[in-house]
Amino acid sequence: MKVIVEGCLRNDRRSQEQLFKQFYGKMMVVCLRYISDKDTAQEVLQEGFIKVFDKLGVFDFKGSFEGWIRRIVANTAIDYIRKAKRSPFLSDQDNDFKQEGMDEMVENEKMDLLELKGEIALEAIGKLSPAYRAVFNLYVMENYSHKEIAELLGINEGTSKSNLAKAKMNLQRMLNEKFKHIDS
Amino acid sequence: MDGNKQIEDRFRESLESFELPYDAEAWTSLEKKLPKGPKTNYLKWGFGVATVLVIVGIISVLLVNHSADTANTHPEGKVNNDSKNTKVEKQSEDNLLRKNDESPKKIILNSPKEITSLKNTTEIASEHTTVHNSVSASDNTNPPLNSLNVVLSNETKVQDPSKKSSNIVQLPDFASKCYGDIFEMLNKEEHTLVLTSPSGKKIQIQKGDKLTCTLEETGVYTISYTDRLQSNSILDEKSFTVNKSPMLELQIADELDYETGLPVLHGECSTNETIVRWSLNGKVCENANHVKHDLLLFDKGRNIIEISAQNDFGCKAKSSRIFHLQEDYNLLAVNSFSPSSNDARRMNFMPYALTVRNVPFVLTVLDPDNSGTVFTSTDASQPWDGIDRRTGNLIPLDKAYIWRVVLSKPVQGEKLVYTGSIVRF
Repeated sequence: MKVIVEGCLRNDRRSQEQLFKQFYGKMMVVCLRYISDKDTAQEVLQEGFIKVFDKLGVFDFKGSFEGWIRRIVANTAIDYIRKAKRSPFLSDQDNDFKQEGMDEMVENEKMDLLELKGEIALEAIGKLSPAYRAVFNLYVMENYSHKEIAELLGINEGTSKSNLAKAKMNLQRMLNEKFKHIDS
Repeated sequence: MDGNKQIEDRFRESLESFELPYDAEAWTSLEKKLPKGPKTNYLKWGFGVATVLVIVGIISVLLVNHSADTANTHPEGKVNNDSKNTKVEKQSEDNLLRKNDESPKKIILNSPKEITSLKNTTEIASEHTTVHNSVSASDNTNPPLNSLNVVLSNETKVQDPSKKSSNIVQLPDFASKCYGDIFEMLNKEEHTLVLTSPSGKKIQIQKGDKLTCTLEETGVYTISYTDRLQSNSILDEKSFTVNKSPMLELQIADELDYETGLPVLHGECSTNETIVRWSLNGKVCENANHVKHDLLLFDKGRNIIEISAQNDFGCKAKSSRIFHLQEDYNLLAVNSFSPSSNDARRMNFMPYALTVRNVPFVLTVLDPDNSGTVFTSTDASQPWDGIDRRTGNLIPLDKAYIWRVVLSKPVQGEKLVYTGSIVRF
């Protein structure tokens, strides 16, 4: 990995492509967790990697490289949704209890449950309202505290807690429906 | 699948290891956005380029200055400059320009025909710019780069004044305007423009200047071109009328009125017009043409209330106020209740607005742990008493339950679904 990073620092295209290829799959998932539209997520991912290439010089290889990239990409996605809508995190009514479309997720084929899990999880998160999705991602996936989320999204801690509870309830319901479907 | 922790862990585990297949097009797209070539120190390059440009600039100015000095001190050129004879002056320019032979523009003085074309250029240029005005023919300190302008000014000056004053200037026709409109006009002519207000106040607009003023008087304004060479005689004059605008003044209440269960803001305007138009946050309110109007404000934050009116002259006026709403309207629901309370209002749960509004609804209370329905009601007189209908027991203390109300006939601008949380204390 150090060789690839050194190549990237020289602005070597092949090294940059290798790095991008290596982390594309996981980082695209990070973007899709925040932004359900694939094209937009793709653009945000590219913006994130431009930042990664730009900041590679400051990475000291002491921590997890993947974690470092993940944090940059996640922050880019958070920045995007903060700019895209004036106050998306205060709305907690849209798509409440939304279930439609979940039945289309897995149909007519027997998929391995473990393989299926990631896709279902990603799609279920994508079905949450932006307000719930942002809080769920930050709290569960990025390990932010409610206080940090409140500061980051410009909401109060109570709203963050409430949105997380509602997000989990919606996800639970979606998964219940899904597993019932798979079992049958 | 039970419990919140399991949900969190399950999503965390599945998504952290989940990977999407590589998309080669994504790299192609990213590559286009990346800086080309090996990394370079752009700052250093920037300084380098800037330094070179500055040096080239200084050398150019010095070289041109030197040439100009030579031209201005040439005996023949000096005499010709002082002369009123156009023919000799042409020769002087010719000498001057031969010394400054780098500029392709100077070639145009080599034949009488080209001088004519230069004169034309001068007149056209003088219509559109003030630069020529500021350059004096006798000002030898001006950089020679402006010498062309100096020549052009001379060309203009040697023209017969009577010929110049015979230049016909024509003002456009002006449409009627409204009180408070902004009036703008650029003087492109040689002559001075004068704007006279109905009360007789005059504003002069010199050649090349642009006037921007607010029309603060009603009545007839006149605008005229005066010839400064012939005792300010008027060359052309036009007038336009400034009509009065509607009088409008908007007043809104200091706080919302929830008497009907809806968030009502009372508004009233003072006006001399019979019909006014009300709008809220840019959206026109339907059937709101009168001086009094009740607005419904549902959303937290800045709400802009605006009224507008138009009079018979076609003049419009607007007036607006901003009302800051502290929180979203949520059916005036409380977030806690206690069945053992002595206060009847706190013994059970029903969003207050539903008890005073005549609107069909479905209230559902859900358990956040398993999405189970704890309570439903479609009747405002049947509030939730805290009993979980699945078990017949009172719900535990301090546990937040989710409530959801779906309205079947919301009022205009109102959403269909409301949600919130409720705790038994």
